[in-house]
Amino acid sequence: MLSEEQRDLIQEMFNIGAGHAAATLNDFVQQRVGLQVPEVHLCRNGEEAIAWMEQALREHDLAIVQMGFSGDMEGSAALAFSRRSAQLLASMLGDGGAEEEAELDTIGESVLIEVGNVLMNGVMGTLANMLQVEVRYQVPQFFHQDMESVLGEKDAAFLVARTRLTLARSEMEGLIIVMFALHSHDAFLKAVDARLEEMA
Amino acid sequence: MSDPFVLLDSVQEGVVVVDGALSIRFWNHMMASWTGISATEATGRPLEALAPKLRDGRYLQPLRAVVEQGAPATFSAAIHEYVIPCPYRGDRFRLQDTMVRAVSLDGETLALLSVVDRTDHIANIRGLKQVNTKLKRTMRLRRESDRINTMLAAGMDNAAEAILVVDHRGRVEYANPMFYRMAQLDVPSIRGRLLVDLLRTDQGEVLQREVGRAIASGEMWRGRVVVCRPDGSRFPASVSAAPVRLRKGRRILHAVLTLEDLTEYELANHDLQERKKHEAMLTMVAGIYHDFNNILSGMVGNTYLLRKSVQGDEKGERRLAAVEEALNEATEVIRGLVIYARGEEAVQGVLPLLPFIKEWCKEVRAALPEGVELRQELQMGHFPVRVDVTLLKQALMAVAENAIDAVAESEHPEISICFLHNEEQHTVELTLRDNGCGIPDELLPRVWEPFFTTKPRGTGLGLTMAKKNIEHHHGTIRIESAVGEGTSVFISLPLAES
Repeated sequence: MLSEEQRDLIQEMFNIGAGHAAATLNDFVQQRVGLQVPEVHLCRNGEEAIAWMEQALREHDLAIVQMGFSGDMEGSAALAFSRRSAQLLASMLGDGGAEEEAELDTIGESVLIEVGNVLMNGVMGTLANMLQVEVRYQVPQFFHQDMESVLGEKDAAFLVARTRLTLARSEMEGLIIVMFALHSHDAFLKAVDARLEEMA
Repeated sequence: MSDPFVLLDSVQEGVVVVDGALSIRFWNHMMASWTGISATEATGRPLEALAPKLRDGRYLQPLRAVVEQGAPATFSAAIHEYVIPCPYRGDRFRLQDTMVRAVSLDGETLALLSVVDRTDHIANIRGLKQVNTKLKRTMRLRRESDRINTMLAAGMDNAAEAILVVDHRGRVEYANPMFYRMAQLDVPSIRGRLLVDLLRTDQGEVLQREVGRAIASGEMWRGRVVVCRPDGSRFPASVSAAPVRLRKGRRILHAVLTLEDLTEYELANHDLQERKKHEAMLTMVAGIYHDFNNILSGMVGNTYLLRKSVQGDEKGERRLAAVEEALNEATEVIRGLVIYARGEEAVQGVLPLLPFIKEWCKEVRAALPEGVELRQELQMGHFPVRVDVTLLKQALMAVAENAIDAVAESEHPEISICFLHNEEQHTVELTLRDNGCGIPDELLPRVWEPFFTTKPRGTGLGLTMAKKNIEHHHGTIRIESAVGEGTSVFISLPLAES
């Protein structure tokens, strides 16, 4: 179980991290990026985590950039866009203009990987700094699938944080997701508790 | 100690390893090949010396984050083109995706840059995108063109005008449904048929000629023709022939011919002219009535006074009585005019018609020139008819005067009057026949028109008023005539209910 204090702190840290990520995306796209209040949810297994993530999506044909991490925190971070939003974003950044019907090609994928990488670094770097933990990162990967691809392992319990970002001018939206795999005596929760003690 | 990165010389990617100070530790063969800088030249130098973009914080900070925090960094060719410049054909540089990740070696964190050349790949994709864009544009134009064609075809199918496309040889390429209807063609298609075989006009081959001229000169022609249908019926049509250039810069080889049936328009126009003429006549009649009435009033007054002066003078009194009778007749005529002009109901009374007809016959006989024979066939009987004597007499006299004029040139001039009872119709029928010059077919419909006359001194009002007067009696009047044979006027009057 997650205590109220733990949930609040994680939510707050995730909010700060997502804020950094949004600011970075703002620099990329040169337009205001809106963020919803983050939500945090404890899921008993991967299936439940996927279901909870999918609640926030309007469609299931997704373009996902995923980056695994390990060390004191273990899990996966992801940036998920609808296919249309992904095409628009890739087209806007890669070819200098949005083309409504453009297919997402490998050039677009590399653009999204870079955007995802920068955004997830923003979130994860903030979390790691605030919790004073060591994290090892995998290289970001692109998936053109559903949410299942975000999961590394399915049996573990997950603490999932999500927030919706929107680019109102371009009618684009996406989700920033971080899934922490929770093991017994998890270093991540210990670090959260340590931070709470510091703050007390 | 052997170089831990030596195996990376064999990979088909560029690989560069830098330390925490971003000095080059390893520079593989592919990088040497792309840049022309050997590993010996590169190793130990700051990466920034070979990658000037690192002076920009947007490149430097992510690279530092790799060695300081272990967070990977990626630089997409689509956004940055390259990080380490590798010359490629002329002034251009290779387009490269660069992935930077942290590697640990003997407790030291290094950054490994793997550089993937995307130049050809991106060129291919961009080429494909251009082709795709062109294809989509072509398809969009085709769809738009199809939409317009469908709309045009529907428009042509539903047009109120007949439309034909004719080629320079005078052959029909297209005809819309209205043309088939207008020309009364009951065939599935007239494509390829000669225009000259399909459309005949009162002006011969004018359409073929003008179509040919429009194609040759590039100028439009407009005109009016009377089209003759296969069944012999005709209709007036407004026609235009406009040149059609199928493609810009190509010769004109076609013309579009449009025909609009003017039948209804011309009928309406004719009615309008008739109404205007009638209105003018009414104005004139009202004027005449006013002036004559004033004159007659003066004459009646003076006659009254004169009667006292001639009292006892038998001859004078008799002549004055004749003057008064003439004045009364003139007054009735003028009254008839005003009834017609104002559309007033005539004063009517029921009287047996036979005596009236007999009296009229006498007057006709008195008016006949020498040599004109008058035949009478009058059915005996009491035929009550509601009439206004003045108006009816006026109508019958107008008819009789025409008959007298018509037989003027006849070898054996003859006028016959027939008066019969039609029991079935409950009417009396009066027929007046002459063997005069007759009226040509084309003039026959016009004899009722106000001011229409063929006589040098005619007013053109006789039959107009006669028709109006007969209609005032709820009767009918019609004329049959044949040139050189004579004319018959048929008048029918309803019997009054007894």
